[in-house]
Amino acid sequence: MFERLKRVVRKRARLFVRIAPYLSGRSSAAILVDELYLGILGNLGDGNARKVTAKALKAGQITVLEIVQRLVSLSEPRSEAAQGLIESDAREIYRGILQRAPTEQELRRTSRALRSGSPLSLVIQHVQSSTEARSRYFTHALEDGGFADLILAEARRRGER
Amino acid sequence: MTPTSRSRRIFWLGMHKVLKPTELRRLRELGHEVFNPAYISPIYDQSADLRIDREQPTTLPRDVFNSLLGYDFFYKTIDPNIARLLNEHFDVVIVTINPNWLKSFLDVFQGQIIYRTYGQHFSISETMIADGMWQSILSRDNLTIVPFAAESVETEHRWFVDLCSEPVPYQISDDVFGHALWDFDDCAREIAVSLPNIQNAYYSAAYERFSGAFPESYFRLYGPQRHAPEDERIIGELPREDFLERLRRSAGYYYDFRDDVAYLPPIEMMEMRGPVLCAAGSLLARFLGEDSPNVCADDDEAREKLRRLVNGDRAFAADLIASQETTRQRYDPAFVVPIFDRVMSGLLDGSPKPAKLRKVGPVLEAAGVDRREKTIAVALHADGLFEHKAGRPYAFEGIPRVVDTLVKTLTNEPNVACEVSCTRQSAPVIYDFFREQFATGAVRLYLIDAPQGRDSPGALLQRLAWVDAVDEQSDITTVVAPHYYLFPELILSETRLVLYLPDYFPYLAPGEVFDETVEKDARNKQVGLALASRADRILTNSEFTRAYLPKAGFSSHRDDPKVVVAPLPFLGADRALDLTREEQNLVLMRLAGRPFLFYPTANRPNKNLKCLFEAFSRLRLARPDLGLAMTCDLYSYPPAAEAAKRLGLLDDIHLFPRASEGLLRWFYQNSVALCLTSNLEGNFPPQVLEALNYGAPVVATRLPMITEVLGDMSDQLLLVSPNDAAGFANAVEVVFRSREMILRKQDSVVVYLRERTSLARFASRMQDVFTEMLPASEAI
Repeated sequence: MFERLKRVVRKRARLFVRIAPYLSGRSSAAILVDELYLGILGNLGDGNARKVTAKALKAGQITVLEIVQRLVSLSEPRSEAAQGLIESDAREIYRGILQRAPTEQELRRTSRALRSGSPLSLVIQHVQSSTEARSRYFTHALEDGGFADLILAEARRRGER
Repeated sequence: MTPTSRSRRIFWLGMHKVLKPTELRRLRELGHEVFNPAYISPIYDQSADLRIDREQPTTLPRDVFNSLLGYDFFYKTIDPNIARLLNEHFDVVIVTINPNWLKSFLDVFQGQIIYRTYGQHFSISETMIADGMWQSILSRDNLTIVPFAAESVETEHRWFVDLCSEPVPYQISDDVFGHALWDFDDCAREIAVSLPNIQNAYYSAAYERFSGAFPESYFRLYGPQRHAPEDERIIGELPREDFLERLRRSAGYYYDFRDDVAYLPPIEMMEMRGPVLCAAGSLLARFLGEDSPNVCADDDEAREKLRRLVNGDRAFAADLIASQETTRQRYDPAFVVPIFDRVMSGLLDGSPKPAKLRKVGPVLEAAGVDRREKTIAVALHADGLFEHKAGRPYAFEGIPRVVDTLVKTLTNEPNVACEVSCTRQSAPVIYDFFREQFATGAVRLYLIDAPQGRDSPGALLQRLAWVDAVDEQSDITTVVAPHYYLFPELILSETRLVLYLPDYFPYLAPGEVFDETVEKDARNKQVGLALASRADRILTNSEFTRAYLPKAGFSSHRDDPKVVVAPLPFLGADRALDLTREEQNLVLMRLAGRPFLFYPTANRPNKNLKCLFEAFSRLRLARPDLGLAMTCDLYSYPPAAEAAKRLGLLDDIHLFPRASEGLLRWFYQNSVALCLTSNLEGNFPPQVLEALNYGAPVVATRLPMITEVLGDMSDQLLLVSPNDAAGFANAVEVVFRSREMILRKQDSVVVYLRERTSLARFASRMQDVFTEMLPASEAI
């Protein structure tokens, strides 16, 4: 793990040069954390997590090295997934969620997003939030007795009221 | 010529080479101004007359005439500007042939529409439903369908037939009448066949079939072709006069189509007094009569008869010509024109025909009929309960048959109507099923109008809206749930609720799974219990069921007053019609006069089909020609199929799933016996009631359901201990030996059950269920 961390740190040498001025400046902790997120994950991620991390850095509860280590551990699987997510994976996302092949346009768009480093979860979330997927989930949820469950729950609610 | 009393301006949508010089011309001769648009569609049709008639007589303003003549009206929706011209300038639109062409005019034209049909190789009514035309056709004033023969609409849906006028035959074109007649001594050794447009899928299939069955070189295949296969017998299109001459000089004509179409070349051959042969099953064969010498039962018979013509059998040719004379006359102008004039003039001059239905929100009801004072809503928005077969509507399974009886009973009250809910898919068949009651306002339909079935999100919202409508509509006094879990939304209804619960098998057979999984069964029961708890009345059919309902949780105690027992009357007799042609062919082909046992039932564990098959196997040792007719699917409960396979019976068990009432009646009346091997029933088995009413000997398990109802009379039936295959076989042997005696013994049971299960008795019990019905004393 440490070896891998060192490799990442070397790769990010230029980043460390950029962040060096901030290492002693406690007031710049938030800026530093943002830079680390951008440099290692490729995006700013969860704003709350950055705020907490910056606060911990400012209070001396966590070191920069520990932050880098944590972000790299998050980055590795994402990065591996991103490497592997080529068009066939984009097709899998559509098959898995919508149970159909993507259109040419969808395939281009999804592959491009994955290649440019969008997190897998974000791409999946995007497909899942489409009207088509929501309709499928709604239908599936109501098929096979789901409608009856809904009615029974509503009847119970009315009874309690 | 008999001109009509007033001239109408007619838009005549047709392009057929034969119809333009006959029907179009005749309308003009009758004094009407008829506009005929040009066929400028890119869709190839070998029958289309592609000439553009710029010189047709017209009083239309020139710019309107030009606009209409330059517009493609075939296979297209109609542009709003053109639609405006149609509505401004035409009294009537006559659409010929294609229902797709009709659709465009239904959408835009407000005036009278006449749809003229000539027989198709597909069901026009089903095509109309598939194209979403059903509602717009029935809710439209002044639309009439003019078929060319009663036989050609026999298998169309009933709503379609109701819109039909008297059939109007059509004539062959005039050029045939001036042509020389066929002469036995002036014939080539050739048989003429029409097979045009082989690139088209329909004709391609016809060509494949024909050429596979008939490789003989004496055939000559006529008709326009775009790209014909390599076949020296294909002549293709000839100038009309040449074609008629080649036809005249053929030894005969062979018609190989087998569907409900009647193409004209064989008629033209008949008109030239040449002999025609055709395949059995075709519309032409039906015109000729299946026993006619012109009809060939199969390819071998066709080959033999054709050989006789090619070899110059003079007497045979004369027989054929004599036998086809009445068919020839059907297309003779002397016969056709007076009918055409009378019917078309009646339609063009007559008062407008009112629409069959009107749509008020989601409700479809008879147009022009006042609503009845009280309404009972009946939930029936489940697919698969009804089906059209050969154009007739049928109810399958117990629920719709019971609903049928309920609706009939309730709407006998002059102030009570039933509002039956249905899905978009089932609306046409449910309309047809209740169409007589619909026409009087006794029944109306509530449409769950979602395209993707009753469980799609859109349909579920509409089902909830239906519950609201039931609750809010002041004339709806009661709602009926005819099944204990198919309509869970009724749990939320606040209207008086009647639950029909004939039995609850999961209680009777606790180890079995009834709806795919244990979880589903559990949920179904929850729904059933909630509905039962909500219900003001639970309608059931036997004291036996009433007795166990408290233990199953559906009622509070045995004497719970909300549970009403009403033995079901003999169901379906009113609906049993004569066998359709398809049904006749089916039983002939499958049973071919063999003796057979009959057991109409679903394949479920309690039906004990293994015992039936063992009895059947024993009987076949002495009677190898004995068959068994059933209505189930053997593989829906695999052990039954395995038993049949093990006993080597698969070839002798004949399955007729979703049999119509008429077919059921035929089976009972023609079977050796009903052989009911079930060892568990929730009610008195309706099959026993049906067999007794239809005069079939009853061989059945000695079920408590039977002995409790019949008491000592049970001995009048051949009842056998459960699972006793040898006993069943012996009882059937008794029937073989003493059928008349068995039927005489059954007579007293028939009389007893007829009284016990009469519709009047059922109706009197309904007074305890439906407050809308007057007590007997008040009714008098």
